[in-house]
Amino acid sequence: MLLDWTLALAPLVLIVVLMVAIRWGAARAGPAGWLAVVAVAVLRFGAGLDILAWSQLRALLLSIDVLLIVWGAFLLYRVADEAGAIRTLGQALPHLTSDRGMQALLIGWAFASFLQGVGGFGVPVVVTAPILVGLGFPPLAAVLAPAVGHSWSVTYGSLASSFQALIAATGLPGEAMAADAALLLALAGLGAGLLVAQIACGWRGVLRLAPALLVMAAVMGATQYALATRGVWTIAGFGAGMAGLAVGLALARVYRGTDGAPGAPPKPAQVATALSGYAVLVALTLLVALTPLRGLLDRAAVQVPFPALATASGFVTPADDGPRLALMRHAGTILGAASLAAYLIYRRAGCYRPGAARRILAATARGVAPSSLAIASMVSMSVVMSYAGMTDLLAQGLARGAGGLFPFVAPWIGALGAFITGSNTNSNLLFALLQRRTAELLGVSVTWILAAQTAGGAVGSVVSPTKVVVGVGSADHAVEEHTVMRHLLVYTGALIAALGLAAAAALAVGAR
Amino acid sequence: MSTPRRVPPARRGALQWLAFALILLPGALLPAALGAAAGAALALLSLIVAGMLLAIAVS
Repeated sequence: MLLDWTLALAPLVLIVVLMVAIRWGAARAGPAGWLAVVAVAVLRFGAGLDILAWSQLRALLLSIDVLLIVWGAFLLYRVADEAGAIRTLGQALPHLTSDRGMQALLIGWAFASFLQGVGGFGVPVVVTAPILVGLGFPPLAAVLAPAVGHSWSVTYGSLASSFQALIAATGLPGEAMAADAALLLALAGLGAGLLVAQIACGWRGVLRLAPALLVMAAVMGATQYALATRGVWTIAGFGAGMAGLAVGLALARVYRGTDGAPGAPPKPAQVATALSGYAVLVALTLLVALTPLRGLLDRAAVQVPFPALATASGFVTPADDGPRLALMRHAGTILGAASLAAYLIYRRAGCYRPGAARRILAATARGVAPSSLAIASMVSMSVVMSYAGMTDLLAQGLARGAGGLFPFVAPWIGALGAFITGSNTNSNLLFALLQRRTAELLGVSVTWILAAQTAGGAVGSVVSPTKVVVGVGSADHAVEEHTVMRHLLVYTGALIAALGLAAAAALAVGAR
Repeated sequence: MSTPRRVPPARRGALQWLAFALILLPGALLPAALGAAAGAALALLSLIVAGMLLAIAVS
């Protein structure tokens, strides 16, 4: 039993070692993990050719479900960035207030969360850290503030690709998981804002900024909750960031400060043009989600029934209808349409230099290749583990080992997955099913445990070595990576511990 | 096995997409091949293994 459990865990440990000790990227470690899983599944757990064959078909469907959003989100970001939209927004914000704490909240928290909502992929720190350095923040604070500030927005950010991964990995409907995840992430949002204020101006500054902090956290958390629970989770992170920016702009009049920012601010028309690409996305998402168009588009779907499968060791996976891919109303398709519309708007407004379309497509193809490989291999790995009974065995061991403490442990598992793989999405693909099975074995709320998984993954992702390297690079290497890592471990550790406490409290009072 | 630094960026991107196709596309045919002949299924499975190895080599 212990040998089986250790062997089931071995491929996950292999990924940790490859990524942390040998510094492989997820696109290399994921395939290595799949090869290890297949070897263990066949040689020890009795998985036959039929299990490997059906696993790979399932992995294809689940990977496409997640990748359509990753590709679409990256494309839209490139369309906007090539048009100078992100730069325009970044130039406009410092002119609103010279109050150091309010600048940190606006740029390092609300704007970073907005950027995570529309882009992700390390963009929040890359864009905002240089702005904060330019405003006179020390390089360490300029990297730490947006890194911590956008963490709560990762699950519903990147057009909710991590949440889509949670749906794909667990097979549960998004509607069932959206509320608990949004509640826990709202708490993480308040914690992130508080830490941003502390990083910018110490605990005294936190007290001074408390009213603004509470209002912004409430507005962002409530917006994300409202959008996610109404089925439009693709724009939940983005909408929350927008709402945070809007209320932050109003609050900046109260916390105005005394000095002005250098240079002239962009004209309102320029800011409106910059935002227009994202306005198209909101309009299209709402059009598909809230009108009869949804039913019409829903008809074009791919679904393959899966038979019951058994290993030679006797582990049986029952037959099911298989994942359903509604391609026409898929968030990735909507993102593709929004990208095209945004491109036409920006082009008409004269935002592009010649050759923009080619550069956008080339950068997108180059940018998403490694993450596509990582996602495809990790999904494949997760599905084989599930069909071979390895996930089930690991869950049984966790349930016995952690017992009543499991709610405290759950966010740390999510965080560990994200720390290793550099991605909340990959963490959910690797561990969400394991967390679901463990919660079922312990008889505790599956949706709260999955909320803890993805919230822990969101916060843990910002401290992953790859993101830290990117963040330090954006501050022109004026601060050392290990220094940023050391500080981030403290801040994110506090947030993850709070998430564990909140999940345990929610389960204790019998929520859901 | 080659290291990422030895592969020019443009070729690495193309090879990564080739590895991606090898990993995912055979999955669409595998269950059908299983019903037809075990040899065909094994051939498709070896394509996936080749894709995984290629991904490790070029990423």
